[in-house]
Amino acid sequence: MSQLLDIIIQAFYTGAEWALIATGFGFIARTTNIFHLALGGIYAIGAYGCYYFTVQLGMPLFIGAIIGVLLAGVGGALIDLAVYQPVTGLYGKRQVDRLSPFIASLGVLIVLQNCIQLWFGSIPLFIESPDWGVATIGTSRILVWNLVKILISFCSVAAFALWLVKTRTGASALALGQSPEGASVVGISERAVRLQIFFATGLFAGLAGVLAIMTHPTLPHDGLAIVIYGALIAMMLPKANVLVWWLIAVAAAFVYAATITTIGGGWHDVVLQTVLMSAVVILRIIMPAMQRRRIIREASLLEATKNNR
Amino acid sequence: MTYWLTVATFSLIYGSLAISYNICVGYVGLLSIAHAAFFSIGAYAYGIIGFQTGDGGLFPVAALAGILVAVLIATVLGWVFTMLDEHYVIIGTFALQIIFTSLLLNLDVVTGGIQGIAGIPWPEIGPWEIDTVNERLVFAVLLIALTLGYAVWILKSPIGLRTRAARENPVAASSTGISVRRLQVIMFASGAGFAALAGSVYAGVIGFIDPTTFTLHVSITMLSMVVIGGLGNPYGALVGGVVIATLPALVQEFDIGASSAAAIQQILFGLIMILMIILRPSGLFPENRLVRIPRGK
Repeated sequence: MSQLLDIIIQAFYTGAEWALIATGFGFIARTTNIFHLALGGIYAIGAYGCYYFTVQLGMPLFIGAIIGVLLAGVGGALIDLAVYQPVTGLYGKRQVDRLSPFIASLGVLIVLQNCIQLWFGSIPLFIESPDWGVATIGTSRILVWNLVKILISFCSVAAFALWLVKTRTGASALALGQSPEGASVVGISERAVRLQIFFATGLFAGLAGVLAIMTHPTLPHDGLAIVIYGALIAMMLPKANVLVWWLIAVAAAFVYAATITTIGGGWHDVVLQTVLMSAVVILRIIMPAMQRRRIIREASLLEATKNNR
Repeated sequence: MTYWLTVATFSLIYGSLAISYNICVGYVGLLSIAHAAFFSIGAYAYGIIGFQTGDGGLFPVAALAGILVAVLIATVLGWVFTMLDEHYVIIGTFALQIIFTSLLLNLDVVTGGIQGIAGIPWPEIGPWEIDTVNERLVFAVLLIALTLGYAVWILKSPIGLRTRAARENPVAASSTGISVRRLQVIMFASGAGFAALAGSVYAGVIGFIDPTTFTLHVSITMLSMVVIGGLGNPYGALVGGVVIATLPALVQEFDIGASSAAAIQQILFGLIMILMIILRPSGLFPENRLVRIPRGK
């Protein structure tokens, strides 16, 4: 029982990081149809930006963290401006295929991760998290910092969900995702809204990076694996509310933590990726096929009833 | 001289790998990021059989076994992936590649784990024992000739034209009676088979394999080879593969340390990929120069 509680707590604070990435990734995929893997590089900007300002320049942790997150947001917007907008034909009348933005995002990811590695080296870096003591939940003990981390992640995603439904920019972003042409007709500037989307999702990735480097040693190349987790989480239910992604991220992290605790070794990647992929296949292939079959059956039943009458 | 002959050998192997990847991505349009997994199947097939028996003469049998396993797995995966939207294929193959690498690391009884397999015997094909640098280069040339020959032949054959039609417009292709999905699976599996062959040759030529040779980054490097050369053009993929595979050797010529050299090399890959996609999205050698589809009346 105590072990289960430990796993659940670990799932929450690991899932808190993944959820931020899943929110960023899923929202960009939903609104711009871009597979933004470069989010892994932005995650590293957040983490290493915070490290640079707090450890190397000696600034207070809180200030360093904010600068790291802001740098990541600006990085996200710049990537859209310099790479995605030209590639997706927002300048001129370029014929756009769906693969080009993805390939460009891979290129950006490679450049960002390796620039950071060149600057900071390939040794994992770590920032001492604030010492706020230990809390006891049932029989388990958890650092108060980890509870704060869970809270920061949940509140950020909840605020984003509110921003989407309560603000004009949020509504414009959703409109852009549903129909770029329609959004353009009603006077929404695609370029301006996209910049805001990329800035906001950059903030999320940066925040995930900052939380990560304050929890465990982080490498510049760690971002890719987390983006893949985030992508699988968000793409399971691509149209779902961002808070649903947060819960899925915690569930995925539960599988991850349970595998590490029960099986051990390096099997967590095999188990988690298999579980996430199976869930995607079930939700995106098997369930739609079953739904189609049910509709056809119901339609033929209706037809048969009409004929009998 | 020996160093550059070895570089040329590996560049040709990677060139042939890029051509096989181009069959999956360029011809079919199925953006798989798990090609290094098929490469590893071939490499480990010869690595395990060669190491256990110590007999290089079993190379043809091991290579064939690797090809069969890769084709079988690719057929099953291709069947599933062709049911999914493009984005799901990308993310699914990403996950698959991570699973494969983790399996190579964790099944250490079979694969040697992180230590890998050392002391793989030089391959022998009948009376020909491939044990000198020059012979290994000739072996790599034969591999690339075979892969390129197949890629050009299949591209110009009716099946290649049908696949291309299916890639450009699946609905129109289906309306003319083309079985789009079957074609895609066949091409995907054949690309995987050639990747496995390249893997067996790689293991035979280098004599040592470990999971780091078959990671996600290798799959991404393959994608950059094809993007630079030209999606859909086998000659372009060959050029892209050879250029990208030679780049590390050129970067190492500057005395900047192994870690920095690797990072600079990756930064160059990334920048080239971004610039190519922005300035020349169809690559150095666009597809249309090779195959001219007759205009309809």
